[in-house]
Amino acid sequence: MFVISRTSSSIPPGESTQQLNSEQARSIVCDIDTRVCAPGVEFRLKATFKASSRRIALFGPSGSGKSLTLMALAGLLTPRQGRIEVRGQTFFDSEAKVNVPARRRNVGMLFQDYALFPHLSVYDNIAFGLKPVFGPLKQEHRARVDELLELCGLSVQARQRPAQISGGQRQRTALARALATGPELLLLDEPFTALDQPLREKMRAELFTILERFDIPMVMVSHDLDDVDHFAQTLVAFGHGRVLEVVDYEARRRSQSPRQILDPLFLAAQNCK
Amino acid sequence: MDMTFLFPVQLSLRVATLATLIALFIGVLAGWVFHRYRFPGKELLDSILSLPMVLPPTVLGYYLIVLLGRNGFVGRWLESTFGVTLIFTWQGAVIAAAVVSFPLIFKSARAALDGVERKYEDAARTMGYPEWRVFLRVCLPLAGRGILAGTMLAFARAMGEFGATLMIAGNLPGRTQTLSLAVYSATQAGQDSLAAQLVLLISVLCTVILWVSGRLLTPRWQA
Repeated sequence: MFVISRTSSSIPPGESTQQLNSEQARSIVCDIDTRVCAPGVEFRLKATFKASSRRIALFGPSGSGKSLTLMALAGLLTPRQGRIEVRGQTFFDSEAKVNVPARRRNVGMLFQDYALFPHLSVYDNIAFGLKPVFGPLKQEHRARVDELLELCGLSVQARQRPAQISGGQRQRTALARALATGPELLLLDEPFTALDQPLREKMRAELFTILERFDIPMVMVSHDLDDVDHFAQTLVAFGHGRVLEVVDYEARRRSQSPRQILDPLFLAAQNCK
Repeated sequence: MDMTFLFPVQLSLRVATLATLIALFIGVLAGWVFHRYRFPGKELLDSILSLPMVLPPTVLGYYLIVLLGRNGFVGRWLESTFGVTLIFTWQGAVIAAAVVSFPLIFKSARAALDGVERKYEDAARTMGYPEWRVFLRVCLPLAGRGILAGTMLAFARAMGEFGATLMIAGNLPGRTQTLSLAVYSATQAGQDSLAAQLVLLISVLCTVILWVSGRLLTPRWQA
C-alpha cells in the first residue's frame, strides 16, 4: 500500500521531475543541504529522504535537524541547495532556481508552542488565514470558523485570548487555525512537548480524533516514542543533521515492538557525531 | 489679558505634531527594514541614523543649513523645482524637529519589532500572508506599544527642540518663534512672568506626555 524507498546517498536526479505518476502525486521528496549559523555554532543539515505514506514522522534526538527540515518543507527556511517536492509540486529546486514562498505552499503548520497571536481572540486566530485584505469575513468562511470551533470544542472560548485558555485548548486553537485555510499538507512540530505527561495522552487522542475527520497528509516532528508509535506510517530517523534511515514503520510494527524499532535508531543517532 | 503668548504654543503644537508624523512614518519604515533585512554596514548605518540623538542640536542645524539652505544641495533643488525655501519658515522648523526626534522612533521601532518573535511572523506566512500584511497584521500590533511609547518621547523632544530650529527657522516672533524659543526671548528681554507662564505650560505638557507613554509601556496581554 505504501511505497517506501530506503535512502541511499541521494535520489537519482530527474526521476520525479520527468513523469508524474500516482506515486509522485503522493510522495514527499526532500533532498536538501544547508548550513544554519547561530552565534558561535554552525550546523550542517543534509537531509535526504523520500516517503509516500500519509503520515510521516521525523524522529530523532533534539539538535538532529528534524525541525529545520520541517521549516524547509514549510518554506520558512531556504536551504543552500537541493530539492523539495511535495505531492507532485516542486517547492524548491536550487538548480532550476525555484523557491515557492511559504505563503503559496498551502501548507498548514502547528508550531511547537503553538505561536498563537496573543493580541487576537481564539476566533480571530482561527479566522486569521481566511481574512480578506479589506472588510469582514465572507459568509462561507464564518461558517467554516464556526464549524472548526465546534469540532475542536472551543465554541465557549471563541472570544477569549490565548492567555486566558488552557494548554489543551491552545493546542486545539492552533490546530483549527492551521486547518482553516484547507492546507494540502499539515506539518506538526513536536505537538505535545508543551504539555505534561497525563495531559499529553489525552491530547494525543483528541488531536488524532480531530485529524481523522480531515483527510490530510501529515508530517510530524517528534523525539517521543509514544507520539511516533501512535502516528507514524513512515519513519524518517534523523541523527546529527543527517537522515539515518527511512523505515516502513507500519510494516515493521506488525512483528516488532516500538522499542525494538526505535531504540536502535536513537542509539545510532547519538553515536553518529 | 495679552494672548500673544499663545502663538508660540499653537506653533509648537503644530510643528511638533507634523514633525512627529513625519518621523513616525520614516522611523517605523526604517525600523522595519532593519528588522527584516540583513545588509553590509547595517550597524554603522544604525549609528548614523541615531546621531541626531547625541549630536549637539547646533551641529544638526549646521548640517541642515548646508543641505537645505539657498546654496545647499536639496535647498537649491527645492527652490528651482517648487519655488520653496525652508530657511526662516515654520516648515523649516518642522524639518528640524523631525530630524531631531526621528532616532527616538527609529530606535524604539527597531527594538519593538525585533522583540516580536519570529514564530508569529512565520505562522502568518504559512497562512498565505505576503510580507506587507505580516507587517500590518502581526508586527505592528505586537510592536505597537513600543512604537507608541517612542512616538510620545519623539513628540516631547520635538516640542522642546531649540538649537536646530533656531539655526534653520530663526526666532521670528509671530512666524517661527516656537515655545522654547519664546522662553529664551522672554528671559532675555526680562519678561519674567511671560517666561514663567511658558515654562509652566511646557513642563505640564511634557509631564503628561511622559506619564502617558509610561502607561503605554505596561503590558496589556501576556504571551
